[in-house]
Parts: sequence; structure tokens; C-alpha cells
Amino acid sequence: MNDDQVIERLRAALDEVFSKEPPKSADGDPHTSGPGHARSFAIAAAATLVVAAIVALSVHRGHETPAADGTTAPATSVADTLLPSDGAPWYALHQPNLVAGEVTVVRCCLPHPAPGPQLAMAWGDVTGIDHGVLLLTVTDSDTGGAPVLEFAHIAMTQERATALQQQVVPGSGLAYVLPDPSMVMLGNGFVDDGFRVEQNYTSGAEHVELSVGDYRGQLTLLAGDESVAPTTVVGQRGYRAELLGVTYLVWETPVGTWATLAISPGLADRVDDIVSTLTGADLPNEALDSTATYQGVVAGIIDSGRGPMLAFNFEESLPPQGGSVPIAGFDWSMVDDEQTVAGTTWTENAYAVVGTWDGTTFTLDGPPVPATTATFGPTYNALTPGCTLETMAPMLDALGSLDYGGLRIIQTGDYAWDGHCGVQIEAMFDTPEVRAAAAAVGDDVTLTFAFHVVQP
Amino acid sequence: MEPATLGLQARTMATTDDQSGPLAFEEFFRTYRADAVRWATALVGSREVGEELAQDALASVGRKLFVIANPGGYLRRSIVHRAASWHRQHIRERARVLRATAGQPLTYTEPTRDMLDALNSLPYQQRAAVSLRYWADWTDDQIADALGCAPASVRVLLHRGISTLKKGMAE
Repeated sequence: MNDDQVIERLRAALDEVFSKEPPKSADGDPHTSGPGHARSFAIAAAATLVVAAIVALSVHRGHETPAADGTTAPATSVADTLLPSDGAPWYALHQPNLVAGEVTVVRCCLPHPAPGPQLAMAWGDVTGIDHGVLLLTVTDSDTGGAPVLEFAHIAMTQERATALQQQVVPGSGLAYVLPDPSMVMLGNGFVDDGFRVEQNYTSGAEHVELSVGDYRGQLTLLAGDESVAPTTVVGQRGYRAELLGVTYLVWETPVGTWATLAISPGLADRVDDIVSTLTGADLPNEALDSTATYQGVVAGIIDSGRGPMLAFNFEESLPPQGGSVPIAGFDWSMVDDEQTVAGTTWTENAYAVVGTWDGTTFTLDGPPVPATTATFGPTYNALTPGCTLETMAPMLDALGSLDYGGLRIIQTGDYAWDGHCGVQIEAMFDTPEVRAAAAAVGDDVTLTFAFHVVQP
Repeated sequence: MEPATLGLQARTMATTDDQSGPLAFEEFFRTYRADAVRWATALVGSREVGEELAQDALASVGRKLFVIANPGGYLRRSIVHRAASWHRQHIRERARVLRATAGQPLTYTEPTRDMLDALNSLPYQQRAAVSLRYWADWTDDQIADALGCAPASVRVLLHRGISTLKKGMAE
């Protein structure tokens, strides 16, 4: 057998692999049909949502860091975390006889004894969630068997729900995927767990609870209730139901996080009035505080001979290169995905970390938590039209003269494409100094921060 | 029909006033999706896994579309690295390589099974080089960029890979 014959065999084999329809697929051209193609719509939609979220964040520039004054739970579980994007939307209730309480931040992750956290996923009809929602909760078997999948649905027939359930298959990036072009993934998180920002409004014994954050099964709470009905809250479509006298409203924010409003029974006759006074709002900033507890997501942890460090970016060499922030309170027994090559040890996963910062070292409060849903790299919220890199020269000069070390800048970037430009600065912490430096660069700088205060 | 609210269409429309981000992604997705699946399939030897990896890579690039000068090149690198990671994670369970096909292993012809076994025996860089060069029609420069090596090194990888496959086929 000569080289050409080997190549021919190779081509024939890969042709056969590629032409094989994936399981459960429909007949037809493998390029245009089958669950993979259908799933691609869902993934495209999810990715589009991410992009849409990035775009939507532009209206919240300057308010990236949530206020923090709340409870925290030890991050003892090994679980995915979905941290809020910069500029997470917030709401304010304007009711003179309801007293606003403090805004609190609750971070994931609750301790989850065996069999571990319960996964919650939701898919909605592409024409709107009021045209149907399929819900899934997954519980790991405590005997080592297959996970237990439980489905529920809102605003769709049992026949359609059953047909959709039968298409749900395990995924690689996501635990499960629904490869149906009529549906798009709405949420993916752990039941009753995950990052959220909360605020209570009270009037005597009555209260209204507002919460915005990760998807954590909020829609599952409503499934099966006869009172559930579509509604609109602050311009967003959602659902409303009365459960044990409490009125619940659940809606998706413009950036893909989920908001709930729970109104106690004594305020039932004022629900419409209360909802009508809810408006979008900005969360206040927090200045860098050496005594504060911070949370952030890093690309990984790496020790290339200088001690363990947080890495915001990896050079994808072997071994990878990266790591810029020394960490204390860490040892490699806290993670189980590390690899060592040529004297460098690094984690395969991204991690959410919580701890304090003394200006030099980040001291962990607890074990890092794998974070597979993190987004890294610069994003551009404010793209200036009608410009090129050449016209951006003054901004680029200013960008290059920043005090990267002193301001703890992780990376900067510039973008010019299709007549639009942008400049981005990503810093570790939201400080007045960083904001001043960004303002000096130009008006349309996208500013993002890797860490947020969770406990001042 | 009532206007779309929270679906894909609405999400797209809701953002087009500010910029063309989502639309740019959709165009990127349409342009590269088929190729991405083909490339990933070449690298892992499974259409089903290839679909997953390609979609993960497309979604990843979608998040960074505005900050990368060469989305196609970035996508190539992303897929090559994701496939490498997938191989690392599955190195001990290659016999179960089709587990991701929802427990329904596909049945290939014997020559194809033999070739997939031979490909699995190659170091990843050799496997990537021969699959991408001779089946996915990447240039040496494209492979070099994705693997992070010089084009001359790609030719070495190709030579070694084909030689090893030839020995495997002869046995």
C-alpha cells in the first residue's frame, strides 16, 4: 500500500463517518437535517443570546459592579456556577407604602449532599415563552445508576411535550440538549441555587421579594399550577401564578438572567398596581475594599514554578502559559482536574473563586468551584460607527500608556471591523482609579471587571 | 400571529438598534457551521461528537466575534484545541468513543473501523494534520496556525502520520 492508497482509505473512512446520520435522526441530507442540525439552532440561539446580552449591557455601562451586603454560603460543592455578567439589570419598586430593604447578593453554591445538586433546564418556544415551555430537572442517582429525568411543561399540550421530551439527549457542553428547531434553551442551572441579587420591600407584615440572577428552576415552580398565565413585566414576557396565596411573577431579563417577584397574600389585591410601578434600575458600584470579599471567575489555576496563580488567560501551548495573581489558601487537593507537564501544573477547568485581596495576593475563602459557563475575553459594548483603527489612533495611544500593573489591568483590546470600532479594558477590580483611567482613554471604552464584591 | 417575544427572533430584533452583533453572529454561524462540523468530525472520528464540539466552538467564537480579527482562523484553532481536550478526556475510554451518541453506537464498515483504530493510534498532532490536510482540505499554513507550529513541522507530521497509518493498514 502506498501513500496515495492510504490517503484514499483515510478519505473513504472519514466520508463514511461524516455521512452517517446521528442516532434518532430523520432521513435526508446530513448537512441539513438530523438532530445535530436541529440542535445547532438551539446552540445558535443560545450563542445569539450571549451576544445579545453583550449588546444589551451597553445601556448599563458604568454600573458593572453589584452592591453587596448579604449572605454567603461556603462554596463547598463542586458545581457549575453561572455568574452574572457585568451590568446585570436590576429593578426598583416605586410604592410609597412599601419600604425598600437592603440589596443583598447571594452567591452560589449551597452545599449539596449526595446525590448532589439537582439540575434545572428550560426550553421555550422560539416564538415566545407564552407559546410553550418545556422544563427538565435532573437528579443524580444516589446508587450510581442513571440520572433521574423529570419533565414538566407550561402552555403546551401533553402531546407536544411528550414529543419534545423524546428528543432531549445528553450533550457535551450542556448536560442535555433539545435538538428541536421550534425550541430554544431558556435556562440552565441548579435548583434553588446560584448567584442572585435580592431585595425585600415591606409594609407591616406584608412583603414583596425581588430576585434577579441565575436560572435555578424558577419556571419549574410554576409548572402544573392551574393559575399560571402569561404576563408582561417591565416589557418582558413571563409567567404569573398564585401559589398558596403568594403571587409569583417570573420573567427573563433582557440579558438572559431571570427575575422573580413574590408578593405576599395580604397584598394580593394590589398585585397589578405593584407590578405597574416596577422599573429598570442600576445597581450601585462598590469601590475596591481590602477588607471586602470578592468573587470572580478565572480561566484556571496554574503553577509554573512560581507558586499557584490565578490565570485570566492561557496561552494554549503544552504546557499552557499564564497566571498573574498569586493565591493563598490553595492546594492542589482542592481540585481534581489538574495536569502536570514539564514542571507546570494547571487546571483543565475554569474556576469561580471567592476571597480577599490585599493588593498583592488573592486569599481564597474556600475551594475553587469549577465554572464551565464562564465567558472570557474582552467584549465590546459601545462600538463607534464610521471609524477605523487609524481614526482610533489617539485612543490606542492612550491605551498603550496605561499603568497596567498599578491599575491591575488584565488585558486591553481594540476592535475595528466593518466600519465600527471599540476599545476595551478588563481590570481585576472596579475602582475609581480604573474608571478615571478608562474615561481618559475615550468616551466609548468598554470597561469590564473580573471580580465583584460579594461581602463588603 | 402574535409578535415573537422571547424567542431567537425577538432576541435578535431587540438588539439590532444598537449594533449588528447578533446578526453578525448568525452570518458567521451560517458561513462556518457546516465546515466546523466537518473539521471536528475529522478530528474525533465521530459525526455526533463532531457536531457537539463544532457547536461549542461556534458558540465560543460567537462570544468573541467582535474582538478577533480572523474569525475563521480562530474557529479552526478553537476546534483543534477542543478536539485535543476531548481526546485527553476520553483517552481511557476510546472503546466507548460513541458513548455520546446516546448509547446507540453507529455501525461502520470494517475498512472504516480499521482506519479509525489506526487514527486513534496516532499522536494527536499527527492525527490532526493528516485528517485536516487530506480530508478537510486545510492548507499546511492553516494547520500550522491551528496547531501552533511551523508549516515545515506540519509536513513532518503528515509524513509521519501517513507512514504510521500505512504500517497499520499493512498489518
